[in-house]
Amino acid sequence: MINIRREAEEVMTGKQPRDNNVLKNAPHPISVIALSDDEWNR
Amino acid sequence: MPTNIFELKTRYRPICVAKHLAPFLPSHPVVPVGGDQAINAVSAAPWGSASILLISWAYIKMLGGQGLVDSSKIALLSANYMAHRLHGHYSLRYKNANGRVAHELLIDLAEFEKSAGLKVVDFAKRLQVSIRKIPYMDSLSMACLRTTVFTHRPSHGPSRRVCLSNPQNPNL
Repeated sequence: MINIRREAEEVMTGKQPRDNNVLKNAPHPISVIALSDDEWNR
Repeated sequence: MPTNIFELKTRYRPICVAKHLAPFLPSHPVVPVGGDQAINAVSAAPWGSASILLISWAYIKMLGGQGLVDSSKIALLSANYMAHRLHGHYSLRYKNANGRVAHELLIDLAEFEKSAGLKVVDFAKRLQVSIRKIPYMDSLSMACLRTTVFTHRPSHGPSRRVCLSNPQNPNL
């Protein structure tokens, strides 16, 4: 939870985009993690 | 062990409420129940599951008097440990005059929606990813840690809070 707070902080400060970040994109299932470099869009 | 407070919350639905809350009683995606301004389903079964009562009874019988006291104490201690650790990182609600919580704690996430566009469901999804990384944590503990969006004050619109049940003591 503390780490997630830090991730949210990065979105708040603009370090990460509001619509494409680890919170918005969660969960991260194997089917997504195992994508090839070409298909990876995160 | 098949039950915990999370299960209790997901199997049960309100039995009775004050008149002004009746329109907001939860509905169900398959069987239409609830009021004309119903919130989303809170239990898998449209009218809730009576079997949860039997499970609670069995737990109390198996724990015994002392066991019930002991597990309650562990729940309070663990929830307060979590509240203490999260202090300063999140805004915690419903603490008593001494700054303590009960067997669970409520985190107010409204500030994140305003400042970063992050909703409760985003934290909930992210939390589930984290929990899966913890070794040796069984599915039961995972279920306990799963976030529950609180909708107990429908007159104020959908709440923006996350509730963490106690992972140390899934019995309560």
